[in-house]
Amino acid sequence: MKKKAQLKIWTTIAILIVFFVILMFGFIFYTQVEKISFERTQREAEARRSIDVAQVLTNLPELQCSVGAVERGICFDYYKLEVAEESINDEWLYYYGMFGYSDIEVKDLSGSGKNFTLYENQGDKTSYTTGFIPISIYDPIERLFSFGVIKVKSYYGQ
Amino acid sequence: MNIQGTRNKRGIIEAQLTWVFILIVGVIILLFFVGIAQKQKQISDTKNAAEILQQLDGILTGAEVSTGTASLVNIPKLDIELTCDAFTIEGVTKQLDARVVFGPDLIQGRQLVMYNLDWSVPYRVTNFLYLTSPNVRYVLVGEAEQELESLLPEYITYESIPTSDNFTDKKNYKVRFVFWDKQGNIPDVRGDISAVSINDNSASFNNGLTWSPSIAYEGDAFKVGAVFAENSEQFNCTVKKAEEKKRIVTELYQDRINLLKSKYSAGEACRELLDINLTAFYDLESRNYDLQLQSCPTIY
Repeated sequence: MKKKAQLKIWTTIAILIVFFVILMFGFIFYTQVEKISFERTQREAEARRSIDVAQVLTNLPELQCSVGAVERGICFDYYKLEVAEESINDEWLYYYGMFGYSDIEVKDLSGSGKNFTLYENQGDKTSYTTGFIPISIYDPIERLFSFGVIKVKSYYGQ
Repeated sequence: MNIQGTRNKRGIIEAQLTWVFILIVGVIILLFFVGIAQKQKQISDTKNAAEILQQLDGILTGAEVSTGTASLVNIPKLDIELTCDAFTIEGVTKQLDARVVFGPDLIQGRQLVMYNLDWSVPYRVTNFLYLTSPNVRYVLVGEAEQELESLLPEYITYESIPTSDNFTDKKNYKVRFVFWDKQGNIPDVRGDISAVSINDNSASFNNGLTWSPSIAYEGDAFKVGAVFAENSEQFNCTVKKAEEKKRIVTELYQDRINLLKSKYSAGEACRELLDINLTAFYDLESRNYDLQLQSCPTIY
């Protein structure tokens, strides 16, 4: 009888142990699913980041062109691009707040063919998303527009 | 020996002990699940706040680039804390970095008013972003109405009164009195009450006790900023941010002017008109107009 009672108690304890083990596996599975979901949300946020950077870039007075003293949208001034390469590098810390971990290049496709590297900061990030935005580049001396493209490489992950 | 009686006693004790054991284990399991649920709620709240912060950051970026527009955005019922450098939702903070943002330190309610104006000196330096809630009440006292009403955006809750004695309390969580060129009296009412005294080139703030020293500025964009800024510390901080941006933009414009000048020969009209020092030259508008007349590249 004593042995029967002991066996009963051990059975109950074994059931509880199995129950908690199953619960633990269930919890681990759930946290893994949440982690994957969170990583996906992070990737989407990073993809949006390159668009945000491009949006800010196309509205910077440091780059925006003006024709007849009127600012034009989605247009860069050629000579501002020429001086911005060095200027942005000199004020790197200021622009880091704006651009974060990204590489920003502007290529003049139909005019000079020149490539302007405005900002570079990969940091220790390993992954990236790239966004291309078409833009006009205005030469205020020749008074001509040319086609250009902005390439924004936004880095994330470690 | 009464063996039957002993057996009965043992059975009763065993039954009671079994129930005690069940109770203890049951409480442990319950506490375990309650702990998990609480932890999960915490994680979920933080995750929600981070997502909302990310979306709000995107909305602010969009709002900042479209000048002169006011918008009313529906947001979840969460308190947004704003400082000169960052905004916080449910303990999760996002830096504002280079953005110049004016607004109350606490934005409550289900709607957010966003407005921006460009700051030009006369070339555009940056866009100022103004944030507030329709639940904040702005009271323009006396002359402030004529001087400022045309600059204020739609969607905000504001009214005009001849003197601060005409104020009636409507239990808003935040009230801002706006005076034009005088440090008026603030009514003694409960709640978060503050005041600002604005004129064409400086502003002074009152948190309900004393008036701060005047802070100088230039441009209408700052006047509007003074209406929305929480206090003199926030306003001063944003003025400094804007001045820093002005320095950077001015240097770049100067470099551009020097480069453009180098493309012309000595004696050419464009070269002479472009021979200026931006920090020392006072009539940029007319010089820019002259450059236009001569078909030269303009300064801005």
